[in-house]
Amino acid sequence: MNAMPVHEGQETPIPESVRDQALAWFTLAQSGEISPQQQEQLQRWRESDPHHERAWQRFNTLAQQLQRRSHQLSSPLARQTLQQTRTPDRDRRQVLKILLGAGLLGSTAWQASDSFWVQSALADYHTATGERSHHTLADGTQIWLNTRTLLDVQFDATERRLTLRQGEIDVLTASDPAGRPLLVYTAEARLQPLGTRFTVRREDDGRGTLVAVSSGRVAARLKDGGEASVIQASSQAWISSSRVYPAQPANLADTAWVDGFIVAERMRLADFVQALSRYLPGVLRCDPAVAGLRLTGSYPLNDTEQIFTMLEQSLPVAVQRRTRYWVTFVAR
Amino acid sequence: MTNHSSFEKDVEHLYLEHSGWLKNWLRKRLHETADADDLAQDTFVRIIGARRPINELRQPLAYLATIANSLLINRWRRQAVERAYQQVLAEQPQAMEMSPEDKYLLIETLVEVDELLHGMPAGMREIFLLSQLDGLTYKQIGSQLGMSVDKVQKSMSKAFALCYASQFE
Repeated sequence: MNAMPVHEGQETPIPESVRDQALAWFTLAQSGEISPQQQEQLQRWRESDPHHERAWQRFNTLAQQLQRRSHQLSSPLARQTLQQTRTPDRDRRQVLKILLGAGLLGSTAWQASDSFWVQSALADYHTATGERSHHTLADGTQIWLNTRTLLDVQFDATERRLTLRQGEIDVLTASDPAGRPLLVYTAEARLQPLGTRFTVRREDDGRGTLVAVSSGRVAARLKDGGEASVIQASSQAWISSSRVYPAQPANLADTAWVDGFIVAERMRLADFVQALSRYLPGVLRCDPAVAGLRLTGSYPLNDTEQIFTMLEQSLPVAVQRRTRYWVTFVAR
Repeated sequence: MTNHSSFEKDVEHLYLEHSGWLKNWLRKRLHETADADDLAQDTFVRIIGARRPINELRQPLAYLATIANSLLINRWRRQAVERAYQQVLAEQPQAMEMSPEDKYLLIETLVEVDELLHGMPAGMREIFLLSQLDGLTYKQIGSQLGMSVDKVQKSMSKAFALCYASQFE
């Protein structure tokens, strides 16, 4: 905004997890219903780390920008104009999409488009951390989005194209009356299901794309083509930018998220914590002393407190909370 | 004869090499060729103003496109705000008098605030304004709009996230 520049100077960036915590606190603080205890916790959170205070002040600045103008905007004319303005968002999205598609927006510091938040405003379907969603597409194909996922959907005369930019989807295909093939693209792979249900996962961790087939088969190719490897039901395969790796037996517990669970079978606590942390904003850790403990069970993703209670009951561990967003498992 | 600094030489170079591409890129997005040429000029004016060392850019085209894109968006935004303003004005029961200056300032403010509200769908915008301009609690907003407090809170969280992203990321 021209009138109110925000100069960041050479300050160190604020970690995303801190930003997310500040967002949650700020949203609560603006509710008009914050309790004295929460107020106190908030105060402690702000004081516990300079990053916290900085992130908090950023949100404060945002709110003030609007509140400062409230008298100018008090006339019904101004207010109604504001409410009725339809900034051509689609056009903006299109422009940014074109740039992203052309690879013109690289990971350069002056461009914001790398941020998950900005990307998520661009994606056709997206979920935030801890969020899951289900959609039925125009052709009847059903899609489940796992936590932190960005998906584009594009149907045209020749194909039904899904582009998974980040995260994880589970797809139950429907046959298309028009006979158009369904294709799933990721940065590495081009996947063509052959009457099927399957999961595709892709994170920005350099591991590539994982496709796991529940039923039917999936033809997997590198993005730029080449020979297809057919992945059979109950199998999974990794795809890097250079090859499709041989299929292995799929761990169907991996798709339990579709039903809202994490399923652990003799899983190390450290691995479980890592799996769970995908769904939680903030920091989730486990003390090395308890990292090797094994657990078995189905844990409901929509009830983190319940998961913590279950773990405390079944393992010799205690949940130590510094804040709502900083949880550590320690020996009991 | 003045000595060109290396920055000016770089801008000149950038202009010679890429202004054609940029004009073309903008023409595809605007109906008027003259507008595209104007915006292309504005883009270079911004680049000169920013004084960002051009020889360090790894992707000069992307830099150009990003600046041009933000100018393009500002133009669209201003047009959208002006359209909405005219529409609301026309709906007023009696003619409202406002000096050209006041109108200019109001539109200016509205464009700025609209930028802050960027990306918010109409419903979220309403919730956000009720909270931030009218100072209603989430509970009050919920009962006014007939939705749960939880829904209001989620909307507010998304709204703040969008604001934050547009200003800081």
